[in-house]
Amino acid sequence: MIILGIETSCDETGVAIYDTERHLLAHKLHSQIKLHAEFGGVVPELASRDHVRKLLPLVKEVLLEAEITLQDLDAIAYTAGPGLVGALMVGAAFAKSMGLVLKIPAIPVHHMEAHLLAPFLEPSPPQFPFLALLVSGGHTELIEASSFGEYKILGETLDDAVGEAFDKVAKILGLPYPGGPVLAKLAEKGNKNRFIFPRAMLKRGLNFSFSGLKTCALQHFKEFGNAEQTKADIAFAFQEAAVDSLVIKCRRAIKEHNFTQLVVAGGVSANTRLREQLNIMGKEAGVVVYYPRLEFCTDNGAMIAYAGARHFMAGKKTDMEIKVYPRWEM
Amino acid sequence: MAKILAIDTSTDACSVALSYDNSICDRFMMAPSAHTKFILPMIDEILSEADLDYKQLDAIAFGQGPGSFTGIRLAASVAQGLAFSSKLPVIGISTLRALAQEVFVELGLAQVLVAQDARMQEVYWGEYRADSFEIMQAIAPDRLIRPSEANFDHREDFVGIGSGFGVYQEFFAKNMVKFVAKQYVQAKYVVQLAADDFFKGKEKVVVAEKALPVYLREKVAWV
Repeated sequence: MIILGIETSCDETGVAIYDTERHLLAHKLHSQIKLHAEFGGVVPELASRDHVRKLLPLVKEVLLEAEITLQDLDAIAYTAGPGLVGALMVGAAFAKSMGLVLKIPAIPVHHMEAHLLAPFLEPSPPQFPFLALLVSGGHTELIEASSFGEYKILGETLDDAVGEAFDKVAKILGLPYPGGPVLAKLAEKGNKNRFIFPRAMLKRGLNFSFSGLKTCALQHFKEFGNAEQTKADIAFAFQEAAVDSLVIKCRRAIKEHNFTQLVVAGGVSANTRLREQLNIMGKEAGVVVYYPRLEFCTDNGAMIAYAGARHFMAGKKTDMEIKVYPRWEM
Repeated sequence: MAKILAIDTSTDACSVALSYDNSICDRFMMAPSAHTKFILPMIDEILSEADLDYKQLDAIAFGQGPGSFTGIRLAASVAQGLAFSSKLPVIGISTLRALAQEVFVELGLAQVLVAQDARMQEVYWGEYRADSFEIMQAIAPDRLIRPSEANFDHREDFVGIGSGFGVYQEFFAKNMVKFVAKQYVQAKYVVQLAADDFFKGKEKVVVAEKALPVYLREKVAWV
């Protein structure tokens, strides 16, 4: 079966075509980073306005690239949540209306489930059951994925998402928006021994906390100033502590639940330091670690198409209501 | 008459209309915060009743704005999805013009000033007059203004319509004798106007990706 995937939950318009036999046929992404840069964060109304301009041109592009016509589509998948309500609604309304005319189902997809399934787009995918670490600007969750559609949250952040903490610390250090990746780059120049930041909630449990770490970075910045090297040292100490917290909780979850596979997804899964440390931990714990390719770590249409295809194969029923769930629990 | 399907979700009302065989049929309901639930079933129903398929239509029309940002974006997204999948052109119709057409048809008011409340001490402002074919045409572009910026010169015989006249009654009362409380846009007037635009082959008949909302308020974020 062939499916069109549409992602409009936040600040990227992503579109893709997936074929269960020939796999990913085409995908396109439009990022709104420049649009929101001067505001230092995503402005929901601007995001929605951009999605409605960019979505259809991208759909035309992927159809062309995949060399298929609308009549070849068996279904459409769209991100129904969680995300910004106005942004979600653009993709949902467009997908449902297409489905109505083409007489094919328009399937609502959970954004985080799609992230979790993104490594399945790669040549040697994981197999259920596995442990998933979802890390992005909006999420920090450890999830037990028993089988397709069966997920249990084992741990989550009690305050900031890890990607959010990266962005906030970057802002403190005066780095350009969105600061997370820039901070990671700056950390490479940091002095390893100058600062050591605390790791929160280490003793027990699988939950995370990053807001104290952010405050710690702020205090160091105020106390030691904004010389380039000091900023790099703070970036390094912050990243080490954040990555360590994630790795420690992963290791604990693996031990407690005897997982043999770890799937890491979401924007922060592109972080080089996190990948290094998780790979080391994985070797020690005898666990295979899976990541999506770098371009599918962040929001994209391919993972939505893939997740939608699995729901279609599982026989998910749809109706004519344009459904979005801005706060959709997994 | 061209076969046109029109939708409007720019206000708390949700409506669809279909023009075919020299007649117009429509569905209208109040649906605050529930347009997403009703709009597609309403479209499906009106087409089934007329025994028409999308591909037999000549165009899709939608209330393009100004209005609720979410509402006009919903209408644009639906119009794009329907039109792209059925390879039809789209006609965006000013919601202010649709209100003007409504009071012309129902009350015979041939010259109107439309003021829809835009919040933040502003109104969406339109000036309309009926042409010899009984179709309302803009005599000035729709725009976003403060009530105090409204110009009433040579508009002495015009009647005011729209929610703005109620909200800023104190101000408008000084300048206008008469206003009619109308504020819910109806697709049956959107479809009438679209049929006129379609007949004239105006540049308003566009491909699906050009079916975009007209917000009028462009500044929505502050540094």
